[in-house]
Amino acid sequence: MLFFLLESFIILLPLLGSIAFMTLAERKVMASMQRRVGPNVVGFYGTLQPFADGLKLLLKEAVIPSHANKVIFLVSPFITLSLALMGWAAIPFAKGTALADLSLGVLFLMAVSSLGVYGVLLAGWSANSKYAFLGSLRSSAQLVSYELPLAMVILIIVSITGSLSFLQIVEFQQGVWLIIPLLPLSLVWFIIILAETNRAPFDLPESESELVAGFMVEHSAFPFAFFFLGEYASILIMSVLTSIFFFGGYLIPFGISSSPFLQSFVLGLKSSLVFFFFIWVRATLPRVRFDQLMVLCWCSLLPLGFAFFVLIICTLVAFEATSY
Amino acid sequence: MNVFLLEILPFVAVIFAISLLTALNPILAVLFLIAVFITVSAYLALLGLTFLALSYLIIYVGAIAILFLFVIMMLDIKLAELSSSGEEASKVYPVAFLIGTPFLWTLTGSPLFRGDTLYSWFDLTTLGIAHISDPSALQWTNLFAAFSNIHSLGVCLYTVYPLWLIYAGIILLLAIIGPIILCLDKTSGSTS
Amino acid sequence: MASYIFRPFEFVRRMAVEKPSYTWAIGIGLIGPIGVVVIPPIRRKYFGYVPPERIPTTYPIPKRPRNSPSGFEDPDDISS
Repeated sequence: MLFFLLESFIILLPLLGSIAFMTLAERKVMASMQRRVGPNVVGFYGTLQPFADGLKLLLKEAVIPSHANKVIFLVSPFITLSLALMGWAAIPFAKGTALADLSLGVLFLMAVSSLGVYGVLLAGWSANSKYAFLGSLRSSAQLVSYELPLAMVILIIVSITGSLSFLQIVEFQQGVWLIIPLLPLSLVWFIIILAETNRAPFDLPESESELVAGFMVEHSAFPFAFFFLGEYASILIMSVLTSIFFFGGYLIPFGISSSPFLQSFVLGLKSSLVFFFFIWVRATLPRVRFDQLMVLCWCSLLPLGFAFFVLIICTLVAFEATSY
Repeated sequence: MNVFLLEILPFVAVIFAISLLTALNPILAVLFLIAVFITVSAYLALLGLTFLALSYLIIYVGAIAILFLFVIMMLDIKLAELSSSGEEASKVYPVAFLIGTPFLWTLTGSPLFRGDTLYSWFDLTTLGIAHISDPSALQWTNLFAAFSNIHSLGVCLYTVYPLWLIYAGIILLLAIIGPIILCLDKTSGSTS
Repeated sequence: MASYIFRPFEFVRRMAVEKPSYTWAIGIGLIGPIGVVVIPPIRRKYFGYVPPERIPTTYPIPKRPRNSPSGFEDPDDISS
């Protein structure tokens, strides 16, 4: 029991640290893309800025609206953060190094990420405010819709690799990374993960400039910080998933054998590049309208997902290349 | 630890189910429903049926209960109208008795359904064997190779029960097409 | 009217502009089933592909008469 707690902490503490530095990296990269300086006061070149922000959020007063359902209001940020952190149990960081090497790891991650909608729905409802409520309906509709093409892409990858275990999906890519045979599908995947993690250009849940901040309008101080952490944890897990599904996870190209330390470093490097893509898109593209978002999901990504599913299953059958 | 959880989880599920029935606020009722689903799927996972538990989570909690919650949140329900008094609530007891008795009858393994108790449906060791009329359909080599739940379920579904699988698929197809046909507006014949 | 019967090529071209995602989705989806029918004969005929032997799911039963094994019974008196 104690050992299990220790193992969880070994994963969770660096994870929370990396979330803190992700916010800093986002601000710095966006600043240099827009020819600004960015945070540069706290610490060496602003390295301690996220911790200063976190302390500021801790010291502020957590305002609870008087007619809110207080239990659900305070529990929903906790649900969001803990579900975003739960998914990390199944991620392999190096060969044979995962908290739980589940044979149904992909299914576990999908279950956990589909539960993440509840934090959004409950936060908006419990605040007892029209703006928060409409924002929660908006963003949960977005999340539920984009889960379908997400599941479609994952289904295609699982049908190619023939396993629901992350380790076997990574080991399958020793010959070739899956982004090379699945390049069109990877574009679909990149669009989906942007929408699934509520990032620009699909950040309708909190579009600061035209709508109010969405489902977490009424949340302040520490509950808000929980939502913030949960959002960035899900971005990080999507980056790692992208590198596992399409960029060969912890594998080093050309089959160079290496130590577990180097392998996890390679996984981190790949995930950081995918996270850079997140920031790049945010700094470049304007926000879409909500109906455009829905039309893109249901009328473009989902038919394309079905088409690729049929094509790839048929290709596997035609060349008798099923790995199971 | 696991044995203790296996003993305690059904009680927790029953408590959640009772509070689901007695909750006046419909949204709280849906939340208790979700809690029942989650405890049951944890129970299934502890029994070793991880695939069933995870698909339970994905389908029921991740999709169906979210739609329930979504729809109930958007309905305009006054809380005062929902507080039914004791006499009104007790009207449903005969119906509940009529429905509940056969279910409990099946559940506890009555003489009519011998060997078909709910436990035997979810028993991992008999998952492939219990309901097969023709034992030669499932060779021992297949069972030996099936390490995971998916394999044994797949072997069972595709070799012994393909017809039932097709029935279920057709029912699901009808469930998809039916609402679309029901929602068609026949008065306006224009195809925009 | 009914341009998709009389002038199918023009119809597909128009649809590729008007509803590109549906058109491409149907196109990509149709490649698969066609490929299942077309590819295996080509592979066998021109590329000399021989399908692999199926994995045995049972073991062959010998044609000679079966004799039940003997000489392996437990001893009558088990002295522990």
